[in-house]
Amino acid sequence: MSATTSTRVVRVPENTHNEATRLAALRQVQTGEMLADAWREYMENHREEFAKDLEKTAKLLRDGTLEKLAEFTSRNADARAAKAVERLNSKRAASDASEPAGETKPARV
Amino acid sequence: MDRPDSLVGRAVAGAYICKDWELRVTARCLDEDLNADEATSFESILGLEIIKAFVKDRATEATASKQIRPLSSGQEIWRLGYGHDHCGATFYDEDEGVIWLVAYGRHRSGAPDDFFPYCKGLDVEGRLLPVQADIARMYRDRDKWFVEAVTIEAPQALKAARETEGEYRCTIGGELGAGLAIEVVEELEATSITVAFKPAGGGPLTEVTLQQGQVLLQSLTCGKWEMIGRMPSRNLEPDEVAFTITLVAGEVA
Repeated sequence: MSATTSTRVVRVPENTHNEATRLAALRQVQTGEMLADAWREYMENHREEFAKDLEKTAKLLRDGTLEKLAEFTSRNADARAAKAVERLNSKRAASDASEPAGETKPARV
Repeated sequence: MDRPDSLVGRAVAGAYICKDWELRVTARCLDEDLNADEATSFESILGLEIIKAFVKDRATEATASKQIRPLSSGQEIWRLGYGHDHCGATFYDEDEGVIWLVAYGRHRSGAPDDFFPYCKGLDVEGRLLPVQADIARMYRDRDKWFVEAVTIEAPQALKAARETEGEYRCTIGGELGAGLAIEVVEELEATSITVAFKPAGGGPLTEVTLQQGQVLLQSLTCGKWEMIGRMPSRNLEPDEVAFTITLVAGEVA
């Protein structure tokens, strides 16, 4: 495995970041190092699952239709969408329901 | 995400494809405001005046001069207008590369169905922004476009890789950054194909990238691909995974 590191920013939920930082401190390793370990472990644990999905994809390409292959590719669409909605609603704030809405020019930043 | 040039300026499934984003209408807005079927195609509503204004005004500009406020969604909702009193509300989700038409109505100050109180009501009820079903439909449309594009682009990429010394790099389906290396072992009459892929627009490798990668690999050649830790001539970049397959004489890629 390459020892090359990247300084690119990856956004993770705050809870994940906090837990990873705490655990890394306990294990006396860098947070990034621990996340890299976790990623390798994930790939290793999902290798068989990935191989099965590859087989299924191959079968659909050989014997199925593009429609069926697209359906298989979208098998987690609902779960992905649920996460997207969570992100959209994370900005939700209480507002005075009695305050009328109208159109305004955007606030200057 | 980049969109295939062939789709830009066209209504495809539930979207109208622009260069930098796509335009969509939420199911609630289709049903309650436009009196259209929730699953209708974008093409079938292109004749509506508000949709014409949506395409005209939001194809190149994601925002407008006026926002609809105050709302509790915490998101910026932009006014879309046409004619004397027709109003739409649009929401630009930059992360997903989509502009949603979330509401349509008429602005008649003081009227019980005035557009702005209507928007406020939807916002308070939590029905203004796109919901899970809207976003899942968008993902399914995109997955379909990706699969269609890959089946055309994968053979072209393979041909280009055969003609390239070293590694051939390309973008597949507008979403997957791929590197292909072909090595021929003459004494064994074998050819190995090694492919690395990652999200084209940068960012971390996700489950979606892996699913797209599966389609790419099997479109190149159906068979047992093995995950490997490096490309023939280089280490993997962060957020990149690689697979290889060896074909002996008689097997076709």
